Order: sequence, then structure tokens, then C-alpha cells
Amino acid sequence: MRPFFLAALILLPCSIWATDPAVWSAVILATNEEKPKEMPAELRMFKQKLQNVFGYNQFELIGQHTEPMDDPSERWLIPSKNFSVRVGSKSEQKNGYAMNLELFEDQRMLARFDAHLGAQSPLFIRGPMYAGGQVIILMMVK
Amino acid sequence: MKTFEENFTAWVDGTLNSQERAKFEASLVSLQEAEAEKTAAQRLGSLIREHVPAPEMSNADFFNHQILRQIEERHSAPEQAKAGGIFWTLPRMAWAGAFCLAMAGAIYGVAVPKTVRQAAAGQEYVAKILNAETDDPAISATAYHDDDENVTVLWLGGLDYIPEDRLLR
Repeated sequence: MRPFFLAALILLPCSIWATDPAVWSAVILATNEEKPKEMPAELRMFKQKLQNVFGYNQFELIGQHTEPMDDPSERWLIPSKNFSVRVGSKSEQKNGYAMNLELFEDQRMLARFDAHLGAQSPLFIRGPMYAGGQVIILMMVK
Repeated sequence: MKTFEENFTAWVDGTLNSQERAKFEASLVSLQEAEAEKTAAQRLGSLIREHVPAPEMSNADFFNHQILRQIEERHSAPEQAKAGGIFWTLPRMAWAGAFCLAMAGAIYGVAVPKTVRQAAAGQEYVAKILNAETDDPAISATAYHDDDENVTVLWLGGLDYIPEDRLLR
């Protein structure tokens, strides 16, 4: 029993170190409802932040995507069919990534921006209005 | 099964019943020699009882007191050990550990100011928008960091409404 425990202690940091970081992106539809639905599990940790920043009480997950940052070339984050983010260039920083990003709605580029994405610190992008609500794009290094 | 010595002692003391006595006497090589030894042993016993009295203890009460105290201690020691050992059972230790962790968390939450924690967290994990621009002059892009929520927001204004009849996916 003890050798297994020691092996686990030694291997755990190695496995964490060996795992490539990934950027998680999600498209959310925020609305105000009299009886809001329960928050999807993927968004629960952002519930208070989303409510406080955007002022809505219901958040539906339209789509999500996790892209490993294991390739230095151009990458696409495609959290939904309508919205996508092109990662033009990136460089690894102390606690995250510096990226050149372009946000697209279908074929139309909405904005380009240089961002530093940190682990566990989300980036919210306020998108267009839809059906009495608000489209929000969420990005975070995992 | 009694040994010969035990039977012999019982025979000398006269504690054998008639059957045992007959059996023992039949096993003897010489009953006469045994009778002579029995007589000698009985005589020696009576002489000792008459001329060598049992020594009297000078402090009998103290001796009895010490003996009783040691007996009581031996009886009570296992109960005390049992009582002490039962308290720290495995579930209680687990609960105690969980309680200590909860206390540590509570002390951290109360004692360390929120701003200090946020500042520390922000230095390590904050997301930043360095610059943002759009090709469409109708669209504005404003970035800010919400310190209270530790979240960075890119606020795009002037975007067209997505028609409700269009399926968002």
C-alpha cells in the first residue's frame, strides 16, 4: 500500500506538468426570466460573475470547445457554429498565454484584440443581442 | 492422572478414599517401607508444628494494604486504557481533521482581507486585453477589468441584433 501511495505522490506532479494547457471557450445566451432555468454545470463557477457583470438571471450554454495549446501554428476556437475565434499567434507567458485573437460571427469579423489569458481568470466578451437576451463569449485557460 | 508423589502425599495425609488407597497400596513395592516413611513423615510434621511456629509479620496491615492496592491497580489499569483508547477512534480523528480544515478556512476567510486575497489572485491569474479594434466603424470595442469579480470584459457595442427567427447554435 505504501509504495503505491509514494508512487502516486511522485507521479501526480509529473502528470500535471506534462499536461498541455488548453483554452476553453463557450457561447452563452443570457436572458432574464421569471423562472430561470438551472445553470449548466460548466457555468456554475461563473454564475455570480456573469450575473454581476451582465445583469441577467438565466444563462444557457449554446456551445463550448476546448482547444489544447500544443501547436504553435494558427488555431481556431469554435465554441459554436455561429461564433468562432481565430488564434493568430500566441506566446507562452509566466501564468498564461499572450494571444492575438479575432472574433468572428459566421464569416464576419467583429473584433481583433491582443489578450493575455490567465489560468482560472475568465475573459467575457459581450456579443450581439438575440431574442431579448445577450450573447456572451467566454474564454479561459484551463 | 496423578503422579506417584501426589498419591504418596495424599496417602500420607490420609485424603485418599478407600478405592484409591487400595489401588495405591497395591502399586507399592513394599508396603511396610512405605508405612515406615509415612510414620516418619507424620512425626516430622507434628514436630515442626510444635517447635517451629510461623513467623509473625511486624507490619501486617501495611503489607495487606500494599497487596490490595496493587490488585486494585491491576484491575483498574485495563479499564483506564480501554477508556482512553476508545475516544480517538478513526471516524473521530477524521472528523477532527475536517473540523481543523474548516477552522483554518474560516480563519483565513475572516483574518485575511478580501482585497489582499484578490490582489494576490489577480497578480497570478488575471486576464488582460492589451488592445482591441474593429474594422467596422459602427462597432466599438472597450475592455476593462472588474476587480470585484476578478474578470476581464471585452464590451462590443454597436453590433447588429441577431434576428429571432435565426437559430443560434
